[in-house]
Amino acid sequence: MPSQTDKLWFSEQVRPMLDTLYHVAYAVVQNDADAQDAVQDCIEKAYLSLDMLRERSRFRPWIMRILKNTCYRILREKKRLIPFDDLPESGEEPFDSLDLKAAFSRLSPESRLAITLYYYEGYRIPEIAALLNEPEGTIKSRLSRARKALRQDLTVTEVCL
Amino acid sequence: MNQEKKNAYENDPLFPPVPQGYYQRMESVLDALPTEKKSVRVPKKRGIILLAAALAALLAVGTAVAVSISTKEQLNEVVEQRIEQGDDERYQKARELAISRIDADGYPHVIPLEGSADLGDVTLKLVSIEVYGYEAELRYTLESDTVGFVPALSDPDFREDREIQKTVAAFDTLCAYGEDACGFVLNVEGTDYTAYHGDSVAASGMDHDGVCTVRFLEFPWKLENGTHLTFSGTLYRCDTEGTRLSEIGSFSIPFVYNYTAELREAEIDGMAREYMKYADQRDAAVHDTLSGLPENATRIDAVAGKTTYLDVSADEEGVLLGLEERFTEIGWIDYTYFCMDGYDVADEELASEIAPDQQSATKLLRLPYYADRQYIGDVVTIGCVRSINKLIPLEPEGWMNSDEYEDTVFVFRYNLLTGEVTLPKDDAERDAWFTPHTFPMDNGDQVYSFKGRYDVWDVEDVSDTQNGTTVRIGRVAFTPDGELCIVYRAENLACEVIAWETLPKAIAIDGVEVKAHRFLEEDGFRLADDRIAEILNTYDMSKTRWITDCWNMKLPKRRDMYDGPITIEIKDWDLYDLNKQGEREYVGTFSFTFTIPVDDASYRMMSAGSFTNLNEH
Repeated sequence: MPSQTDKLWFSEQVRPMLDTLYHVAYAVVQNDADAQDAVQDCIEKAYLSLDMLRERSRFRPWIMRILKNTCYRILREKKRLIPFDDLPESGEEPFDSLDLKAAFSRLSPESRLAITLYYYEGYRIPEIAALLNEPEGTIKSRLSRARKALRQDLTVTEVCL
Repeated sequence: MNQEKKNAYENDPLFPPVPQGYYQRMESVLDALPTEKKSVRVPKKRGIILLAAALAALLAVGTAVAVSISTKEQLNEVVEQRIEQGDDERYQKARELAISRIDADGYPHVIPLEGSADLGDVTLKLVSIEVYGYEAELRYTLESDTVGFVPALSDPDFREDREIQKTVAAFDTLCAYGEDACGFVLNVEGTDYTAYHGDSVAASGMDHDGVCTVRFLEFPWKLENGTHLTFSGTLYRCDTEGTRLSEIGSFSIPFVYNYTAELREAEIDGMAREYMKYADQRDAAVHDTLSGLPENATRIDAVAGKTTYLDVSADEEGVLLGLEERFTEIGWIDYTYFCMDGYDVADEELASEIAPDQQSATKLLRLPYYADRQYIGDVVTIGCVRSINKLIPLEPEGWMNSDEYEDTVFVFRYNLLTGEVTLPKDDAERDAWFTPHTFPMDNGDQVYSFKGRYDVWDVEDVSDTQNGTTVRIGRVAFTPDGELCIVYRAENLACEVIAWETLPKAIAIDGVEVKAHRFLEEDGFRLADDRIAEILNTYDMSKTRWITDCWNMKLPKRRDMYDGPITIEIKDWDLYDLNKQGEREYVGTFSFTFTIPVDDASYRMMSAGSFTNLNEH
């Protein structure tokens, strides 16, 4: 089990990442309760397996992988995906926002992660590549496909309306 | 300077704001993370035992079959072959991959640009443009001997940035180029596209090498070669608060989008070399990992759905499982999870190779022990569940849920000492060993990797009263960390927390003396003077104050090595209370001897949350 020093170090790494962890989790599980559960589970799992992290400089991609797996697991266990049904019904949000949410939810989890990290967390492509442990070209392609999918999806929605 | 938020949108249509309760909750999670006084990692000699176990596996009987090449060796050979491959061959393969990526529709190309504009003392030079699907990023530099450039000053947060403060101090004339960039325009064949309006830093930022960026949304999907563009805008002087003072000047720079054959070749070459570097690093890391693993493994060769479980071995950190997963064409929730003795364990992929026909992958996973190896049994039950969610593909990408799931379960037992593998003889036995969805996560307790169970015994009729204060031993538990935890209750005290300041002089477990400590405390507890002053203010308000607390101690030997009743002696606990003057007052010295029937726990729990409170149960 980690020492008190490990705990302090771990907390110092996690605190600045809390927003990112939440957004990434939300991008995959698509609701607040599961996103918070995923982050909590991820924090606890990561902490208790801290001695398996051989290079502490790799903390961010490492915890991101744990979070990804945790989120996928939550999706699997809940046996559900939220394309439309659980979207908010109130008129508080503009139509285009709801459309975007629906289109976003139809992207693959990998694309949602890339979009989230790039647009909502402000990471650059090399940073996302490092976080997800994938080549930059792969991230660029994924972002490109996701943009196209979002655009096409939203265009279809507009035509239908 | 905050470059991390360069891409970030100011208003998030996709995400709700992070709830305030979230931070509070995560802080509680961080606070509650347990620590250990010292590491309880498995001693080195364990490795020798496990190596012997792996060798013993060769001779194992039962359902284990003859050993052929292990997954570790198989993967290692592939990696070594690749490492020994000539650079040319690897480069050609990397090029093929790069070309397939770069030629895909909408792949963003970085087009270097030439062109500049002089705005009095300021020179703006184009650097490059990158169109990445309905968005474009244009890069440029700003040079001046007399003007200091900062991305923004209207935002107090930015004004506090040290780099910005340095610029403000160094120059009499300032330009918040990021805020000005919100008005920049990129004209494409007669159509104007304005820069992203919102957070000025999202619209424009400056790299560490001094290259500024400005982003345009609602842009064409891609540009054809020969497309004419014009980049235009105005820069302003501003004061230290970011208020615009006067115009520095306007610029309008025409250029032509041209993705040349030379650029394409450079891009392919660059990406191919990046892939090679990535693959080399990965191969080196995998080779390094594999070389430290046991040589032999016990064959399993069992097929469950689309997975073949190949072999199993173990090292100091966990069970090593080789498997081959055949890909499914359906669904992206194709996820395998593992449990060991009912505990969720997060698998670590040590190596993975996709077959030449691209139809399957062979993997070597480590399933980490859920508790320190010395505190779990020699035979572990491994449950593997592969869950495939059948989804309907959408064009151009994405999936729709079909609500069809297919779970396949594979269960086996593995003897960590002998290497013997045992499979359940039928479905009923398999279900008795492990059933998905009944593992502890479903019972409301949090189950974490490496976290085992608490075996708890209620202790009856063990108490003593001295000078009106009664101390009762209420409960004893084995903790997942190999400790013994003794829970007591002391009643009729004026200041109950003074009890924390002392520990029994010794505690003996079956005659072996061990040192007790309070949970999480490194150096003991001492009630602070200011806290004592607070307590004295309410000294006589309650006559029946009490406390429950526990002492922890390392077990002298592994918990599963205790096969009969355990005798516990608590020797000489000096208990104090607080008098009205705020002085510590001796109550008495308490000693107890009692036994617990180790093979018959009163109850088993997944967390220490409630058994340490003697008001419950």
